[in-house]
Amino acid sequence: MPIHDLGYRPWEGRTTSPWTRWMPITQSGVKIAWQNAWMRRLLWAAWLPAFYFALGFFLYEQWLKRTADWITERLVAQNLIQPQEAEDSFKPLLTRALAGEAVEKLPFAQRAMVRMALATAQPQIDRLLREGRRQLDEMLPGVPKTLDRHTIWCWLMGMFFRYPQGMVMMLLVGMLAPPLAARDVSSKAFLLYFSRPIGWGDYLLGKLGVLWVYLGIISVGPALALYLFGVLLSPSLTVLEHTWDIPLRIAAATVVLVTPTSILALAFSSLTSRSWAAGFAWFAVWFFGYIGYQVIWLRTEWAERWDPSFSAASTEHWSLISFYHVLRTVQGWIFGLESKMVLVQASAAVLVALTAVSLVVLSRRISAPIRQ
Amino acid sequence: MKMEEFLVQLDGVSKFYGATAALVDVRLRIGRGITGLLGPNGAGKTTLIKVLLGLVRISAGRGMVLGCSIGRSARSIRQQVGYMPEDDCYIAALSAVETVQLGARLSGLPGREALRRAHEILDFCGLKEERYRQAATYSLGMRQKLKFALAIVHDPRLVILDEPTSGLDPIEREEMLSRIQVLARKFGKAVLLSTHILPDVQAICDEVVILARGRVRMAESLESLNRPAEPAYWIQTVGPAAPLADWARTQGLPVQLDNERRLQLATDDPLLLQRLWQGAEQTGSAIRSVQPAKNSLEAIFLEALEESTHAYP
Repeated sequence: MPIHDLGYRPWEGRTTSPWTRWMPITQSGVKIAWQNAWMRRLLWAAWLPAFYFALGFFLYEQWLKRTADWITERLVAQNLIQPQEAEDSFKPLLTRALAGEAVEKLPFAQRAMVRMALATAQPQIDRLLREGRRQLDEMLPGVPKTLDRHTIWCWLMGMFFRYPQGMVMMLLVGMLAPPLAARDVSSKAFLLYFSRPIGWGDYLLGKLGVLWVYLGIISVGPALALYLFGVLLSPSLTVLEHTWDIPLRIAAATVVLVTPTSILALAFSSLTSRSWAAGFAWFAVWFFGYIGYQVIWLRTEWAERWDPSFSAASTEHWSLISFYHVLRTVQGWIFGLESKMVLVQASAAVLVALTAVSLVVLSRRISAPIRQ
Repeated sequence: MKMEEFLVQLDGVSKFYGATAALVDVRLRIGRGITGLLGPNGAGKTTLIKVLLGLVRISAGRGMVLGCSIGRSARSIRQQVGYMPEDDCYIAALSAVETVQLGARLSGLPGREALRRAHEILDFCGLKEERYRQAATYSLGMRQKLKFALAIVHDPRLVILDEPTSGLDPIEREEMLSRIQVLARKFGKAVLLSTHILPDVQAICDEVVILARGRVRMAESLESLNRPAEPAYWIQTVGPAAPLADWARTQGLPVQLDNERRLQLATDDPLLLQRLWQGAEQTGSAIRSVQPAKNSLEAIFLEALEESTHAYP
């Protein structure tokens, strides 16, 4: 017997709130997942694209600054404006105008000067505009037509979510989710959970919490850091006026990314006692959906290229077979990159339906072992 | 015992899975102390336990556990009940101490307190340094201790133990039974012990419930079950008991040869017992022991099962 063995003792403390009983499940799940070295590496790797995208913010803000500097210097050289005034008030206003703020919103006294500056320097501005677009395009193809700050920042964020984070999310969920419920099925742990004062909703929330914590680390974390980086690079705090909605869009995009994916992956996990089978199902959904849509899209592209008379019906509706493209469409809409509302609505409906079916599967699979 | 002293009260509880009846019209009262729940495989013991925990909905009847309705207050019940399942179950990738801590936290113990309590209970259950190993690597006996620790970590008022001694060696079995007794006798816990092992019931239970084919066949105190239908003594002899039995019959004593070396004297009159000693002297028989006769729990168990088989073929 250990010398500190106190034997059995009654416990008379205060119990925690019944609403927080899912938290220990999340905490233990996070702890278990952290033991996986590959998962830790993936978490670090998920932050690397943020550095690349930070370059985009840097290039854009530099372009704004260079353009404003160039126009101001030119006006000073022409004695159209005093150097002190140019530096103190004109240049910041010009930067705001170049960043997309309507000239009407600027202080009345400065409007004429800014209008005049923009009009006289239009050919040079166009040249700088082309140069700025070229630089951004080299970094990331598909730069929007307008180069105002809100559009460019939204576009950069949208691309960040669409490409690197979409890929990392798929890998991370594929690594984390399969054992979450499958391991409890194989070790018959459900009875240990449900003989406690918790319901299947607490269990579900606890397990989803594990995914949400890690998905938050790879999506909300880098995206907000990227936003903060952009703000710090900006010459003035007027950037907050132009981009205050972007953190909200990041939050909305994260919810769209995390909710259906985590619930679907957990549903796969609950269907089997073998983690590898759940992992296979998860990657198969992504892979076959993606490849399927790409094949249809390429076939149409080729037909149009070789046969000018070929009038292919739009292949966009086929994107609904690809989980990746469905997510991409809805996230694109959140960042203002997708304007075809019919496609957005159809994609959102697919995500809602998938989430609902997964929840039904989960509720039945989780409660089944204890009802038998 | 007054009605309010019963911790579990079931009235006409039935549970059907489709057309299969798992429990039929179960009427049961369980009070403090240790109650043995006996029954063959498929008798409905596990279903009854799940009903008590509010894990399955009953098809008919009503019941209260610790003052809470089993249909409406399942969480309140599970807050006050500890359950040790029969299945070999564990939470993969967690050590024993982490598992017990998690169990405590799910029952509402704050984090640090849960860890302290987990260590304390694992000490009580005899899991030493191995508590830091993953439960998946445990032997069956160690997992039994872990499940027991999980059942009692939140200091429940009612402890439901499903086959707690299966897979344990004789010493561990004794220790487990002793722990159960400590909980019941020293700390006033009500214990419902579901088991196949009749000596376990005989050793520690106060009450016995026999379940067969989903029906309660018998619910009595062990003391009354131990009393034979008629008062009697068992006389164990060193050599063959037949000469002593023959002599006793010639003297008109109510004896019956039980087996080669044991006979039963169907009386509680000490004077008749005195005469038997004289008979032993005369016939040269050596008496090894004299004990008041008891009903065999096994015999009662088999009898109850047989009754149920005939009644509900």
